[in-house]
Amino acid sequence: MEAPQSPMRSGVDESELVRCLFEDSSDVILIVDSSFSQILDSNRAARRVTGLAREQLLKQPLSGILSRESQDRVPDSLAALRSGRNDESNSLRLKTADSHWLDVSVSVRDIELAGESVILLVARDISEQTRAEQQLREVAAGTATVTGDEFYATLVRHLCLALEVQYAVVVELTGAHHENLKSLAACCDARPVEPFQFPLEGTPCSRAVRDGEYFCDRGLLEAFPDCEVVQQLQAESYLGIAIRDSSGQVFGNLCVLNSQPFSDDDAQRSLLRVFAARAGAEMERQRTELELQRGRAIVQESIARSHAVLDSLAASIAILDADGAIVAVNETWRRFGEFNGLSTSDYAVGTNYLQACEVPDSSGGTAADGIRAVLDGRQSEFYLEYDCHSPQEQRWFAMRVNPVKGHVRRHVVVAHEDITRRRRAEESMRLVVEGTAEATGEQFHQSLVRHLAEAIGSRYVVLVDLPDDNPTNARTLSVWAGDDYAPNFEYELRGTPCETVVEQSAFCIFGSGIQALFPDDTLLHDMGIEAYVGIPLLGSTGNVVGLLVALHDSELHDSDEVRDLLRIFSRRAATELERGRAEHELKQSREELQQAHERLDLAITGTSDGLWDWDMNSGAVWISPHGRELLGHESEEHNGDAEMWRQLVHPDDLPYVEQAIERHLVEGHPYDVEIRLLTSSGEYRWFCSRGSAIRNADGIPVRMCGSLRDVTERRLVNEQLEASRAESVRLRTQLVEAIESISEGFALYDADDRLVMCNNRYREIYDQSADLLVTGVSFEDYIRASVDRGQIAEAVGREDEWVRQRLIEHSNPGESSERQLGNGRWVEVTERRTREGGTVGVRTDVTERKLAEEALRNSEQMYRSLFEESQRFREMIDQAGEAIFVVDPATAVFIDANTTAIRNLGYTRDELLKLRVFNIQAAAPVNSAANFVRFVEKMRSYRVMSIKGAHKRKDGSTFPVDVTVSHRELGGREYLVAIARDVTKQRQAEQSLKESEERLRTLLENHIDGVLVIANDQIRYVNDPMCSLCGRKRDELLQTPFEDLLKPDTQSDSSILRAGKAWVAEHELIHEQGHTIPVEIVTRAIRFEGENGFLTVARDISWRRKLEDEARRHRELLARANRVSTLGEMATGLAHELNQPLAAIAMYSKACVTKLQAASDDTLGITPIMEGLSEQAFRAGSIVDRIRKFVGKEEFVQCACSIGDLIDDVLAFLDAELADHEVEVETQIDDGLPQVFADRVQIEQVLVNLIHNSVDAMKDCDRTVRRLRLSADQRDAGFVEVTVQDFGPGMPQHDAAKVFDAFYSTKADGMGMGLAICRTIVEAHGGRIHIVSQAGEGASCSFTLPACKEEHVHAD
Amino acid sequence: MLTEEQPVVYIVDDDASIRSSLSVLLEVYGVQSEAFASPDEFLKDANTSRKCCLIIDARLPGMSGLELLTRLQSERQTIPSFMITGHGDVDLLEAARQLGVTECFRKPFDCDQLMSSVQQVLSELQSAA
Repeated sequence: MEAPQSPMRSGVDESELVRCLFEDSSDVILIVDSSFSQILDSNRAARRVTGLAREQLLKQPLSGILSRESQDRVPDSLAALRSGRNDESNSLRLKTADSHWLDVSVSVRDIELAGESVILLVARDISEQTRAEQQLREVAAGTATVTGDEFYATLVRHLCLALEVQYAVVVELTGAHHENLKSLAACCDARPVEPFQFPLEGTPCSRAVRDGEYFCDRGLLEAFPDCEVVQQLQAESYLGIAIRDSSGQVFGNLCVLNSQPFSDDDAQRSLLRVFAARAGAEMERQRTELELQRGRAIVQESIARSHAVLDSLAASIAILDADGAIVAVNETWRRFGEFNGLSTSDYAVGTNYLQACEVPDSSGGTAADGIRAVLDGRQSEFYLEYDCHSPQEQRWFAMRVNPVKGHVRRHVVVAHEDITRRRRAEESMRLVVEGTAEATGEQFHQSLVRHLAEAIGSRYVVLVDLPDDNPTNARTLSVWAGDDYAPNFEYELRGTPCETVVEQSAFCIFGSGIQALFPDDTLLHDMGIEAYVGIPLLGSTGNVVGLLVALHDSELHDSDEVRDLLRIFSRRAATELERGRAEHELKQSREELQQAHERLDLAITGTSDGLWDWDMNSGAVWISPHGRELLGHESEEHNGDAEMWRQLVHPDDLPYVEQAIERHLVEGHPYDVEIRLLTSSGEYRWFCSRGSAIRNADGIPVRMCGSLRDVTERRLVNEQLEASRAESVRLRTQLVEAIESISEGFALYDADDRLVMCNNRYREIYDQSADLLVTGVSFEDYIRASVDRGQIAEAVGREDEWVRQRLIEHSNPGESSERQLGNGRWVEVTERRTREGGTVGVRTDVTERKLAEEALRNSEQMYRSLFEESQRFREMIDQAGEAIFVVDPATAVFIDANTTAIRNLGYTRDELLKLRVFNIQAAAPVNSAANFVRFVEKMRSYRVMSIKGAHKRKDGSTFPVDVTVSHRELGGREYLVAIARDVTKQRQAEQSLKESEERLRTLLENHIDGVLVIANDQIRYVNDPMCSLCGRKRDELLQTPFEDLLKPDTQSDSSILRAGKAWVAEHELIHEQGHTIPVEIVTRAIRFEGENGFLTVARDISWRRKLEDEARRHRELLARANRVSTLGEMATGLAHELNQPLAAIAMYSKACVTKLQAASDDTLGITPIMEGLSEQAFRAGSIVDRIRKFVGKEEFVQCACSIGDLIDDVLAFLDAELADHEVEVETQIDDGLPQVFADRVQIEQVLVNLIHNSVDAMKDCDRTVRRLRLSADQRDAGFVEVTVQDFGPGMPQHDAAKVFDAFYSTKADGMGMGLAICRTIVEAHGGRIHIVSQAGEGASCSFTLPACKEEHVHAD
Repeated sequence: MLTEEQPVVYIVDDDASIRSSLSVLLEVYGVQSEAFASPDEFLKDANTSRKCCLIIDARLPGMSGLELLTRLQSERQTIPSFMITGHGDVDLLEAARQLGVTECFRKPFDCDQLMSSVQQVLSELQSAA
């Protein structure tokens, strides 16, 4: 037998071993023929995967066990195999027919089996793994179909598998303050774990929840000794990511734990992050779903509730859809249908209600139309009342149709309501109302009780009145007793149900057994009453005025109806009762009135008037006794008839009397006449007769009565008065004519100063205000109005003042005065007092005379023409700003002065005109009489002079003036006209200008900077500092061209100076002794003494230059030190790095040489070569060492220095950089720190490097966190610790350990030298440097420096 | 019966080339050696109760050579030690001497010198037993 050829072909036993390996391999192994089609052999795993027995498999073509898509790939794979592109086939994945995934891997080999070339196909069943991967992919992509708890279970299981961890848990925060955790799904070794709950505090999850994520690669057990879960699981490592909802709020945690330390944390973290995000979405989705369910439950509940409400309604309700089909009905509707024996097709859900309604000859048609109207939206609602009488009873219903809101298609609610009772009540009411409507009083009472009894079916109805005066007793107003009215009666309220009604003032009803309730009420017993209904009748003020009571001899059933009716009629009855009472009271008051009338009659007899009464039917006239007395007819006979009265009336008055009576009787005109009656003495006396007619029911006057009074005396007085009045009129007319005839104007004012009269002449004179001269106008009103019209020339412009003066004159009339009127004419005014206290005014036109006088005056005083010829000219002069004086040169007296002059000096015009020129002078040249004489002399020759002087006011104060005096001759006379201008303000301005100039000069002189003014290419002004700056004298400077002061190479800039702009530049001034001084020059264009010039301020900036130079030197020093250190550190690093391989080379060659020597077999002569190698290695080492020594040679100068100063210097140095990066710096340097013993430059270099690093680290941070904290404190006696802390991204702790190594850098462009240099420097000083940092928490680098000791100080 | 235990040289250096070349060199000289990449490994795996000496690099990851020596001294383990360094750090060498280091060698060092020193220490160890 030929054993199958296997790869291991040495040894017989091996064939059995191979067989076992083949059979027991966990991989699927198939032996396939070379065409890759027929399976020749298979192992156990292959059979398990395919689920086929060996024999079955052997008959299978390979394609038979593969899925369709995998079958398609086989030929390609085969081709790939054949061509030797084995790499392709490595990744071939095949799927079996029953969905196992086969990873067909490396072991596809051509072998020979029984002389045949076959293919060994080794595949690994990766179904489980693939499925997990698939699901993870789905989960990661968010496409997993599983949701809810299943999702979490899947998630944790696959996390276990994917991350190869033991535990994976999704937990949710629970409790009011999120103090607990509840597992949503947990998985241990890919098996689900029962849900559990635990407090958050003290667990690694609390860190993850707080910080977003938490990672502990080892030592979890030690880190969380109190965490039950960690201890129970014996977990060594932990990775947890907080689960957040879309708003970022944490509500759970996804974590994995492992009993082994984690290795590849980054990959795990990112995977976990993805799933945490997905879990967050899921959790949120679940919550939303829960909300939705709750919402649905609420909706369901509210639907149920509304159904319950509907069912509990008394109305029958159905909801119809747009076609009129019933979609829902309530319980009442159903019951109604059943009760009325309707077929379900008429009322049940599904029925078309419109069709059901449309039964011919019924109100249903109307109902259907109404429903349609609402359905179509033509009507917003529909209401119909209809009867539906059954043989047993009368019934009414109301149908109401309303649309249902919120439906897209219109639905309507149809509600039927039984309104039978309401209809019946309405019927009853109608009955009562009709019976009682017309009646009042007794009639009403009876009608009410009768109809009410009929309407409500009571045996007795009683209307009771409660009298105000005796409220304990009641009195019936009407009683209906079954078939007829019963007589009214009175009864005591006590112990009756009526008492209850009155006391409670409310409706009372006793449906049965009333007698037992009120045993004292015998009436109830006698009448055999069983039930009682009583309602109080309330008056307008709310008091109980009566009762309306219905009594039944049987039990009362439908009390509601009775109550409603009683309520309605109680109002009416109460009104009627009140009306009755009011009527009664009215009657009483009428009687009282009657009595009052009688009393009046009695009073009349006591008056002075006579009374008369004429009976028009009989013609009889009655005169009261006093009336008879008035006529002198003592006897009774004068009570005669009307005819006799006619004869008593004066014949002239008779028609008048008759007419008056006629008018009174016919038109109702008051009868009130004064007539003459014949008295017994034969004399006619005047009487006033008044009266009025009394008419019968038909309006016919039947009598007339009135009074009579003797008015003879009064008439007599009146007549006399009339006569005297006529006389006065006559006199007055005569007077007026007389006055009119005189040539003067005349006016008379009464004692109240009101115009009594004036003649036409007077009006002519005051032509502009003649219309105001009406009788009764007051003098004051008149003159005021007339001056307002410009009637009086001298009053123009000073109306009020003039009127005041005029009134004073008027009240004290004396001498005549002359006055010019607005029209230019002159009048002489003469006023006299009359005896009655009035005033007589006479006006004589004196214009002619005045004109003559004026002409005379003009010729005498010519100068006045200057001022007064024209009013306007005068005004102009007065309004002039300058004071103008006219002076008589002979006397020095002021002839005239304008308003300004008067105002300026504070005198009145009159006062001034009494003064002389020198009285107002406060200074030369005319301050004395003698001076004035000399001055006039001068004026005669000069004619015009300008003088600067000062004037003195009336109050003694003085003011400066510029005066121009001119000499004039007019009409042969000399005048001096002086025009004086008050120059106080000008002088003040001049003074302040002078002062400010002074100040400016002082300022310039005292300016610490050099100041010079250049105009017209010459230095025109220099101050003292400028002189000392150049080391030259002022005079010398003023003659030097400015360019010569500047160092030649800066001169070119001075051309800019010509451009005339304000300009700042730095120059160097040449000192007299030859050296130059750096100055900052600010130049600006100015006007100087009327020329264009420049103001140049030169500031000595030597000190600043010095500081700048120092800073620059320092910077250079630092930079050089940095360069040297960098090179040195590089050399050190290089030396270390190179020395390692060099040492190795040396050792290897030494070993080689030694070995050769030991073997004594160096036939090839390798030993000297190896020795040469070794030598060169040493040489390389020494070269490296030399370089290191060369560049590492640094001057190391230690001295005592203050760390605070160092920090300040460095910050100043880096100021611009820090500002550029917007880094906020805070320093905290402890007081009383000892000085450190250090090389200043090197320590500054350390600080610069550290600050650079921090600034670099924070450059991508938000501005708010770009803070840098520099602090220095003393840690222990010998050392000062300096810390540079930033709040940037920081770095993981394991990076922090390496940062001080040379060539190690976390920056993309860093050389990795900075911190290495720092360490070298710090350690060279005997200090230590270390860095503390956590990712995300910034970095803090601290170094220590030895504090200065005594000997250091001395050494210095 | 076991032959008397040979003393061993423990090498602690983070540089693999040094570990390897030094091991080869020692082997050539017939000296048994064991190399460790870090002090931690050394402390964990080296049997310091047997006769041994130590060749240690001055700068090492984690614990430095000096620190390892300090620690051994504090544990009262007196292992003869040699220090090799890539730096010419004078202070470091001084500190090493104070910690009782037999000799310090700057890389690249003279192999003969090293070997003679090592062999001397080893023979002392053996004779002490």
